[in-house]
Amino acid sequence: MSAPVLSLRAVAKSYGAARALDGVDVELHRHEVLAVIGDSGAGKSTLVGVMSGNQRPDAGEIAVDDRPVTLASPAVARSHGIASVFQDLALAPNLDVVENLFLGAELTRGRLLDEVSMEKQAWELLGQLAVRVPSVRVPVGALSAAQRQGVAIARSLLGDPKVIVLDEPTASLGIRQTAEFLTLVERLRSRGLGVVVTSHSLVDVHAVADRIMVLRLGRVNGEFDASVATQEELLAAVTGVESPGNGAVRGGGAR
Amino acid sequence: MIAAFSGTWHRVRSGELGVLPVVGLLALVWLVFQAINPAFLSSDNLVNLTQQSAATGVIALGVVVLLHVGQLDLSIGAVSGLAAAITAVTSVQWGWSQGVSVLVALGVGLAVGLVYGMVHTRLGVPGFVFTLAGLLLVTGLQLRVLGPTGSINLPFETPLVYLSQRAFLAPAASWTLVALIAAGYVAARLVERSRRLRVDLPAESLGALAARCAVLVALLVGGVAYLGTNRGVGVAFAVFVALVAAVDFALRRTRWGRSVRAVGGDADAARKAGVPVRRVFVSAFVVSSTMAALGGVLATGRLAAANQGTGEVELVLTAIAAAVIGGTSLFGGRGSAWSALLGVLVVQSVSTGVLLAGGDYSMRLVVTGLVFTVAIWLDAVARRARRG
Amino acid sequence: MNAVQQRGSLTQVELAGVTGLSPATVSNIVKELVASGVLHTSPTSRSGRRALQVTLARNLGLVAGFHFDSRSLRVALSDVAHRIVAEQRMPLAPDHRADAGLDRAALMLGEMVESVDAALDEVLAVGVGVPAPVDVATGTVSSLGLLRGWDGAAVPEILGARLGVPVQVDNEANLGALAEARLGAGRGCQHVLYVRVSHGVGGGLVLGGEVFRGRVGAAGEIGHVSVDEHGSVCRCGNRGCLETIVGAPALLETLRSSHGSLSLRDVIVRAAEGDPGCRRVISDAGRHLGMAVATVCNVLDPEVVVVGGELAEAGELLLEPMRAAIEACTIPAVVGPVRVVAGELGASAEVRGALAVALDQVSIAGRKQVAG
Ligand SMILES: Nc1ncnc2c1ncn2[C@@H]1O[C@H](COP(=O)(O)OP(=O)(O)OP(=O)(O)O)[C@@H](O)[C@H]1O
Ligand SMILES: [Mg+2]
Ligand SMILES: [Zn+2]
Repeated sequence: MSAPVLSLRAVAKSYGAARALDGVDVELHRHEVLAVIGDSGAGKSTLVGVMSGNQRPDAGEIAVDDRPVTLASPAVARSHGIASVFQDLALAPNLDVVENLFLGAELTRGRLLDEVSMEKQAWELLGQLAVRVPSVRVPVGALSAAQRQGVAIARSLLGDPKVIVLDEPTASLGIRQTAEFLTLVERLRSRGLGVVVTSHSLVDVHAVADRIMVLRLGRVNGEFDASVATQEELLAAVTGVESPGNGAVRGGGAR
Repeated sequence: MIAAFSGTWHRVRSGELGVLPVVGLLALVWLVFQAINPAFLSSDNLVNLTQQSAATGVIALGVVVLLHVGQLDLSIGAVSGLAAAITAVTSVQWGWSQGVSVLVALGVGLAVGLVYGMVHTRLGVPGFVFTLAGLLLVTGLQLRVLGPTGSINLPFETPLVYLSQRAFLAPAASWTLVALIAAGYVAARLVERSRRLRVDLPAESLGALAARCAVLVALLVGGVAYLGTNRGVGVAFAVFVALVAAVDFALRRTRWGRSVRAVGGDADAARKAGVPVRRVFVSAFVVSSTMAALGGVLATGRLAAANQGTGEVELVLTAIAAAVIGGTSLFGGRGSAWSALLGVLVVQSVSTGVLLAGGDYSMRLVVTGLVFTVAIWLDAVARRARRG
Repeated sequence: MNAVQQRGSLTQVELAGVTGLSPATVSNIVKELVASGVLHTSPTSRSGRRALQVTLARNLGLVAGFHFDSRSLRVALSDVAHRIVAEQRMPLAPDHRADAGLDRAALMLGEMVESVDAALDEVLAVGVGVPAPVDVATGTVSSLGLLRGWDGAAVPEILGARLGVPVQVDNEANLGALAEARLGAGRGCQHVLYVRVSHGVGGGLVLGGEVFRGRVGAAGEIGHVSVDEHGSVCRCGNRGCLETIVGAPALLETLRSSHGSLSLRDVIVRAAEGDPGCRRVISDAGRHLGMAVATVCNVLDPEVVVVGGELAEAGELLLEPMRAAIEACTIPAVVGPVRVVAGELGASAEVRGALAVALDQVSIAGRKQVAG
């Protein structure tokens, strides 16, 4: 099998005395959806933050396509092909959809912004992702949670990333939008991207994941092949009940 | 009828109408004062009004830019006073050429902005806090520069005084400018329209475009013609308006402007999107301080003197009030460069209007304060409307 | 049109956005379609602005179709004129359960009904397809072990309690067969064999224009025809079922050592791009399928064999070897071998069948009302 597109080795991160991540290894391949599940405070957002360059790990190595990298900021991560959709979506509420989509990567003509091209591409991109907005010129703050979500995902796709990291993407969505979103993840995967999704909702991510990694108190508490893992096994790993089932690829880190 | 009204109200509240409410406010202020004293709208008074607006307006323009990133600089008055003092001392006492003096003064303003930007991005302290310290520091410097007399007069015949007091655009020059601006505007609109149509994007109808251009041309022609019945368009005012147009263009059409608005809307989101947030903050502080310095220089020219009173606290408040009255939000991320022009016209109109109506200084402060309060209230309401 | 159907309803401005047409063009097209009765417009105000909401025109009354596949749920909403007004797909976890799945389906239906500006009480009947044999009389899943989490599930009770409408349940392949026979590739034929190759392998029979279900609804389960008595154990408990050889897990397992972990879609896409391994796996599957189908043809002699399910998207790559195998294993006829074609309704076949049985319910109820 080809080399992982993104790999983390022995990553650790503490907030004061609180160990948010402790010796976490992750491998993500192209064409793969990795779900990261765990209770509140398990370290999911921290792990995603490390992958997206939003948080610097205290220890551990990160490699992209087998080359060691330092993800000093989201912009640096982006330049390595890792795009992120943050739990808070990171959209500027006062800017409109087009402005948010191209924020930090605006198209220009000469030294000036090329609004026409950006607006055109925005419609095309949103259309591809089946994201509905009343207009691409309304401020993002006026959109519904699901629409904002769509805009954030669309933005992450600009500039052809290799990896997309999504933190709690379905938290604020209705069922139809969740359906749209899960279908979208399948599409990203078939485009050859590596996708990392975190979630509280086992059912949602189980539907699209290839592998499921369970975090518990900052450690990897089992990794499962999604096609054979059962919900009972996954729940047991999430809550820490000792029962390594047949779906486990790798045993729990927490003893 | 009621529906139409509540619709309009909704749009005013959510800030959708941009500068239109201020234009309405300005018209109201003018009508009221004209009714009280028919000399108010005389061309003579309006020329005075425009000339008085330039210095404060330039400072307010800096405030607008800084408010866009959600910050306030309370030391802009002190910086303008320091710039005035430097200009006066170096050109009068040290005998430097006035051009060099002005450049040095602007350079000092820029340096102050750089320092502020550093302090803000390194320490994360809000601007209105550490600029208070800056206010004391810079005022101290201003007094030291002015020396024991505390006041320096500029000779009446120096270029700076001439430019900011008595220089007016010749009629031919102002009409050429009007023609160029109108032609440039129409051309830009048409090019944009045809580009949009070419890629199948919705575009403004030709009728709407014509109406828009007609309004602009009418304003320009009317203004220039009316002022022309008196002394005409002052150079200082023309410089101010040109600066406003330039800043407006930079805010709306450049990557820098986009970053400034994004940082004002949500700095953390902007950082995650890859915007160089620190640099944007620094640049906004620099623009604000440099504009303040320029405003101070213009004020020196207009008064033909720099003294301890140049750039007193009232100037700070007037400039901030002008920016907010003009429609720039105190909460960051929303506003327009034009709000500096419109806001300062409102504030100056109120000042002269109250005096013409026989009111005194205290009256003037009260009325300005009331208008400011209404503007803040509208701003807060608009913010809530956008969130809810 | 398509844009409106996919999204249920949207404003003209949005329509211009998603289609990339200019607003004037959209406005003209919408006007024409409204005049011809295809679209319906209504004024609305979104975020304070007035706009024209565009929906598909529908006659009074809606029916809903659910199709639970082993890895996805598809929900469609149509009016009584069989015009689909909204359709939505949702991926499901590998071992989804009846109660949770039906819960989500009901929620989804609620949101979809809302999206076309209708109320839930306008839904008159519901059809449900599940990937296991169903006892149609009671609507319960009649197999054991075929669909973990759905064994013995009384779907009409669960769903009826939630939605308060008659619920008709059937095996997914039966519904696919019905839809293809009535609306798709089997139009005009009396005897149709429908073979569904996807995660699992299923089949449905339409004989004399009616779905033939057999004793417990297990008729047509071609996936569990034994083709290798020493083969691996199937999820049904028997050995060497056709599904253990051509079902998606089997195909993907064959490719795992060489291609890594793929989805069925990946295999189809790569085969179309010319990947020799993926092509080989699909054509082998076609040959095995053909041999099993030939047996059925020898017994029933259908007029047409319609191939549906995800793997059917591989097209001739699958059908060609199928035809060859069928020809080799059936009695030669004067008019030539049986026609083998890909389904015309694609991934929507089963949900269209579910809509069809729901519609049948409505028209039966309607006729009763008229009679009584
Ligand atoms: N900025 C921070 N400062 C201090 N502690 C933090 C910070 N961010 C996270 N933590 C702590 O680190 C641990 C892991 O938090 P994290 O947000 O990664 O969890 P999570 O799995 O994403 O939880 P949730 O499901 O609630 O989003 C928690 O104990 C949390 O309290
Ligand atoms: Mg989190
Ligand atoms: Zn079997």
